[in-house]
Amino acid sequence: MSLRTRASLANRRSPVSWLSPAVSFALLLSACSSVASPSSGSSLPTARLSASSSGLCQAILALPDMAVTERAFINVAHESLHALAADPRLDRSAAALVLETMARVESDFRASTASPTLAVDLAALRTSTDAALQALGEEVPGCAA
Amino acid sequence: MRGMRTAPAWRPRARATSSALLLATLIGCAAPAQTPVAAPSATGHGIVAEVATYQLVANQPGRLLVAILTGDNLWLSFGSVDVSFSYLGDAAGTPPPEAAAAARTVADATAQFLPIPGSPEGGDRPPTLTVPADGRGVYAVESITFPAAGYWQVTARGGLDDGSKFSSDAAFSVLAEPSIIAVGALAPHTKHPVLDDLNVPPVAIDSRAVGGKPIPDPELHRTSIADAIEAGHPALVVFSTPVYCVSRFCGPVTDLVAELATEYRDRADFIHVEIYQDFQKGLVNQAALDWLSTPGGDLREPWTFLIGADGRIAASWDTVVTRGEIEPLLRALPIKK
Repeated sequence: MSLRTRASLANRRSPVSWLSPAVSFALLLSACSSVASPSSGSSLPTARLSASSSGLCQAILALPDMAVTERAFINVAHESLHALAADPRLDRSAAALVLETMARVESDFRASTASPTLAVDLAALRTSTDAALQALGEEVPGCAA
Repeated sequence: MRGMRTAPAWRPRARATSSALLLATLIGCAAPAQTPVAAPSATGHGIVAEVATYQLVANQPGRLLVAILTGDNLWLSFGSVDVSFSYLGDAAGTPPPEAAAAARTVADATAQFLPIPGSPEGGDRPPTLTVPADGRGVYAVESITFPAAGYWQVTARGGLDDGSKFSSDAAFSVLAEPSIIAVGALAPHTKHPVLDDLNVPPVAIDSRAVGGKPIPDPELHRTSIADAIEAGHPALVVFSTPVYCVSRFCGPVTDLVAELATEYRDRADFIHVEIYQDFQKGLVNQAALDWLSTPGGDLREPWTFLIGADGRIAASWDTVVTRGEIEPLLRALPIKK
């Protein structure tokens, strides 16, 4: 296997929030740039970044009801988690941690039987999410039972 | 903020001028056309449209995908929407003379809902705003040809289940020449890591092997593209990064290819090529670069290719692909020798 490093590819994450025309304008400007970067693909709308944490909180509080937990994860947290991980201000290792812990949670939901690790994985995802939010100076909502 | 300029503050009244802003930006943009260009505008329910297709080429039939969503994370799902098109200017940013623009017309079309694999299809339901758990997908015009390269605008409009109407615009680019390998071209004989490459970190073969987990879907990692072509086997190849995906579509599309592999492995080889060799270091697998990197250095995921027994690209799909699009082609293949 031949691999090569492309420095430009290291910054593959672009903030994509097409809800804001201001950001769309920034995206248009970036489309004019000759700087190479793997791009966001289909840029989907992003809610406030803090919804990633609050959605996870809702999911955790809904346990052990798997159906309600999964709906809170998908409907509230999921898009914001992707947006958070894609934020170019975020260190790649922090982004990786969010995406990797998110993959574990998604794997739990795909399991045919209730996953015994779901609660632990959700907690780990919330920890990595809150750390990422703090790193960006974003609001970290509380999660009171 | 690293690597990006802070966007100017947005004011509500500026929304009405987004098309003018788009055109002004395009005019100032001398870079080659890239797809998509996001320039959403919203009317009614805060609905915005965005073209999700990665590559459209002038004078070649292509598939146009439009995602329609709201600011509070509702997806427009089910049914169909009407789409119309207008030409905004060429790739150099030159606005077209009125006569030229008028000559570059594309007929109005109907775009059908295409659910992300695993999402509800909706049956006969009309377009409905749904939370992601109840419906996620895009609206597709399966075969459409644009007569000129440059920047185009799609207007999607329709009625919602509550009786209200919506209309939303999105801009996108059409290339003069394909930047990603096109249907009919010979597929590169790409060697990429597979299960028995012991010197390759498992996570470089499938990002879901992160943390020491076994490589999932081993049936997708037994054969390289080069091996399939050299054996004279058709191959369904998905380039994706299920863990580190930005587009949100990698996981469902990879799962779909794995499902199809269990059903049609007697007719084709099924291959998943992981995008990243090392995400944290920003290292991309050479196979992904060879197949997906555009001249401008862009790399988008996921892409799915069907390679024929003759080694040529028989079909390709960017972003979302569904069972309904792939399965008829697999069924038409003879049993492998």
